[in-house]
Amino acid sequence: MAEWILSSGNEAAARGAIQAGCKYFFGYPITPQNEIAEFLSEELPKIGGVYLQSDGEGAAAYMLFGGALTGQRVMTATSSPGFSLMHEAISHMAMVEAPAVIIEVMRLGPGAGTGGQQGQTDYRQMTKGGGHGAYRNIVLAPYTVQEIFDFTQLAFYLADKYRILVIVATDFILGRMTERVNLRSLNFPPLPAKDWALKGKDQKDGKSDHHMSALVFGGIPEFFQHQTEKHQRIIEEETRVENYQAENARLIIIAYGSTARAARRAVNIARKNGLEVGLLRPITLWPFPKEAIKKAASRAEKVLVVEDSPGELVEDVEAAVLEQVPVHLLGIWARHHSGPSGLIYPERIFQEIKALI
Amino acid sequence: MEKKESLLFQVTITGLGGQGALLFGQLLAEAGATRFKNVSFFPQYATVMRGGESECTVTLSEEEIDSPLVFEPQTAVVMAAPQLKQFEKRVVSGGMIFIDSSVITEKIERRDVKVFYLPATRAATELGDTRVANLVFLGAYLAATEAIPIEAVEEILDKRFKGRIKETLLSLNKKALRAGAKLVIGKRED
Repeated sequence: MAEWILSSGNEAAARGAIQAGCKYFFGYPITPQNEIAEFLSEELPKIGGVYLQSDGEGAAAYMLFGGALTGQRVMTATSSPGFSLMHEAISHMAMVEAPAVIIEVMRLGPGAGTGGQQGQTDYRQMTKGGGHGAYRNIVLAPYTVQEIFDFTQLAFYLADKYRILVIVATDFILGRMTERVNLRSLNFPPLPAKDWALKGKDQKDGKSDHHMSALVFGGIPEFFQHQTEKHQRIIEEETRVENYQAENARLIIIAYGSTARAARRAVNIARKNGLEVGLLRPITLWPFPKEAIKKAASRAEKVLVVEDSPGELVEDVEAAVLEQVPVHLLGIWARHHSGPSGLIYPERIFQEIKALI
Repeated sequence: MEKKESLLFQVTITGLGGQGALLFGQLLAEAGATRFKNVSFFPQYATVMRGGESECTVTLSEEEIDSPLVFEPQTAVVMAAPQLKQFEKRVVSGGMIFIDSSVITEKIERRDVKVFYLPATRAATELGDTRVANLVFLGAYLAATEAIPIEAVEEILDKRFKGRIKETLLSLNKKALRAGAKLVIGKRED
C-alpha cells in the first residue's frame, strides 16, 4: 500500500510527473500554476533533472519541443494566457509528432483575464487545436486531486504511445484545492522504443534533423493519412467517460473538471430529493465521448450542460445528442460572485435541476 | 474522544489577507486528515499581498466528499466585517457562525443558527500578538464542534513549525488555541 499525503492539485501534478519519470521541466511563472513550477524547481535537481525557467512561454514551449525530440519525458505547466503563447511550438510539435505533456491550469479569459479568477474558458482552444494545421491533442480532465496525480502519469504514457501532445486540463479550483492522495505508481503496458529520437547525428544510431519532418511519410497526403489513422485509433482506444447514476436518469448533466465536482454534489442533493438525475463526465475532452453521450441522451428526457464558460462544451454535447432531446446550458452567468472569485456552486446547479425536471 | 453522530464537518473561514484564514483551514485539514478518511481544503483569495478578501472551506468526512465547494456551509468563521452579511444568509439552518466581536459590531438577525460572538482579536492581543486571532478561532471552533481534539492540531503545529520558528512563537500559537477553546466553554448558546 503506497503512502498517502495531503496535496494540492498543483503539487499532485508535479508529483505525478516525477512518478512518471519526467526529469525535465521548462516553464515560465504564471498564476494559478506556480506551485507546479515551484515544486519541480526544488525537486528535479535532487534527482539529476533540470528545471529551466525561460524568458517567456513561447521559449518554454520550444524548450519543451527540443527536449521531447531527444526522447526524454518532458513537461511544462502554464495557465491560459501563457498557453496561448505556446501555440506556435505546439503546432510544430504536432507536425513532427513530438510527445510531451502540458499541465494547463485554466484561469478566466480572454486576454490576460483575471489572475485570481476561476474559469473554464479554454475548452475550444485545448480540444480543437489552438494553433494552425488541423492537428489534435489528447486532453485529460481530472476532477479530484488523486486523478490529477494519476492522469499526469497516464498523460506521459499516452504521449509516448501515440507520439502526441497530451494536455492535463485543470483550473484555479483544482490546482489549489487540497485532498488526500495515494502516491501510487501506475503500471502501463510496454511502449515501443523511441528509435526516432535525436541523439546527435554523428553518434551511433544518430539521426539528422531532417528525420523529424512530415516528409518522412513521403508527402503531405501521406502525412495527413497517417495522422487521421492515428487519431481514429486514439478515438477507439482512449475515449474515457465516467457514468455517475446516469442510467435511468430523466435528466443527465454533462460537466467536466471542477464543475463536474459541483455537479456530482448537485446530483446527490437531487437524488436525496427523489429526483432522477445523473452525471456523465467526459474524462477525455478529446477524444470526446460522443457515443456514450448519444446513447445516454436517447434514454433521458433532457440534458443539462454545466460549464464555467459562455458555452463551449455544450457545442460538442449538442453534436453528440443530435437533437434527440433538448440540451440546456448552465454557463458562466450562473457563477456566484460573492468571494474573491466567481464560482458555480452545487446549490445553484440543484436549482437549475429543479427548474428543468 | 467519543464517536460523533454526524461524520461530516464543514466550515468556511473568511477574512482579509494577512489574518490567517487560510492557515486556520490548512491546520484543520492537516490535523483532520489524521482522524478522518476524507478531507478537502479549498482556498480562494484575491491576488494582492495583504488586505484582499481571503477565504477557504474545509470538509472533514467519513464519506466521500462530493464537492469541496459549498455555498451553504455548516459553519462560518467571520474574521472581517465585509463578509458578515453574505455568510449570515449562506450558513445552513441549524449551523454555526463565529464572529470576531472585537472588530465586528453588527449582530446576526437569524434565530435558526448558533452564534458565537468571540473577542478573538482582543484575546490574541492580550496573549501578545494580534496575528494569532486565527488560532483563537480554531481553538473555539474545535471546542464548539469537537470535530477533532485540540491535541491533533498541536501535533501539526509541532510538525510544521518546530525548529523553523522560535519556540516562543510556537507556544504562543498553542496558547491561542487553548484561549479560544476557553472562550467557547460556558458560552454555547446565544
